[in-house]
Amino acid sequence: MRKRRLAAWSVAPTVVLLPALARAHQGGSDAGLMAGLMHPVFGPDHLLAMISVGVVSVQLGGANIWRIPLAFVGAMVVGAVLGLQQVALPYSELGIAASVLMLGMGIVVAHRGMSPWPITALIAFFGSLHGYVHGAEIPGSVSPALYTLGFVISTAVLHLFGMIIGEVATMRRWLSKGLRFTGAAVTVSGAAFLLQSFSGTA
Amino acid sequence: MNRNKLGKFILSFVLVAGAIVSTAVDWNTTHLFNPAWHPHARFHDALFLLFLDATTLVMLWLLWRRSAEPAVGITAVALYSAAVWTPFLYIEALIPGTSLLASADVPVLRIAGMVLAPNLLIAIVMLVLTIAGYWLGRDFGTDA
Repeated sequence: MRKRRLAAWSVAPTVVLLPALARAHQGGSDAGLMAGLMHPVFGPDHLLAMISVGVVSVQLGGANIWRIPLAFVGAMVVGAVLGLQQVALPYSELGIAASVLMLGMGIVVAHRGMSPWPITALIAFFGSLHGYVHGAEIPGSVSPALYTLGFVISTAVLHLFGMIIGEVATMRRWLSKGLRFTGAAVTVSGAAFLLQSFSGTA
Repeated sequence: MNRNKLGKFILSFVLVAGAIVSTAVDWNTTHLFNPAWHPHARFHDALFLLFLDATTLVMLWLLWRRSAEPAVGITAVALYSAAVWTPFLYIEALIPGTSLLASADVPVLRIAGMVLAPNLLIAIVMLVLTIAGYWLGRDFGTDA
């Protein structure tokens, strides 16, 4: 009871401090946040990869539903810091294309019985690449913090849509089969992105 | 994680992301500290943000508290979220002289000739997530 009361009272400073945190950006513009929110949505490679992460997390089930998206987003923030610092990371676009291909394959093969750790590690690695590209492509004169906040929220939304798709697919066998075929289509798109990236780097 | 928890997880995200995005978008010179705004308009924006942040915390408590009627919390949060985000769809039509855009140079999306303000797009996404979260959250019997 005392613990619960303490938790309830600890909420009060949060109520007071939340706007104060935002006040740190006083004088800035909301353009950074908007740019960050829109960045993952309007790149088809980012969009497919991030929705696929949500789908795969549901297919693996259990705690993976939150663990895998969290691994992606966490690694993405680390990658974004590198991108914002303009650290050179060659072939990151190739890695993004490969992520679409691999995640599409993930949708085709992922199931509850398999070990989640190799997929989690791979997804975290791809998350860092996506974050790096988001960070490196920050538009000039926007707040990096707001821009990062924007694409983190946007990415989480795409993961959630993937989770909803994955969850709906568990309700009917034909939906589940359809989702596997969609995964195959995502794999093909990934291969196309990969070819495009190869021709771009060659 | 069961289906109900996934629904609650989605609704929690809608609550928290909504409060953070709204506060971050408004707490700057385009809105709350805009010198062109009347002080009382700024007062109302601050009032809205503080109210939104506080009610978000109340709704999170309502959603996750132990209760003999968990469906009540899920329904209340879904209705609260709908109440926050649906006005974006009709305020411009309801109150002449209002605008979804903070200034004329805010970039808008054009889809099939239709102009979509970014905040309208965010509201639509939040409403879709609210419906999905409510639908999944009301399911108390199936494993996800």
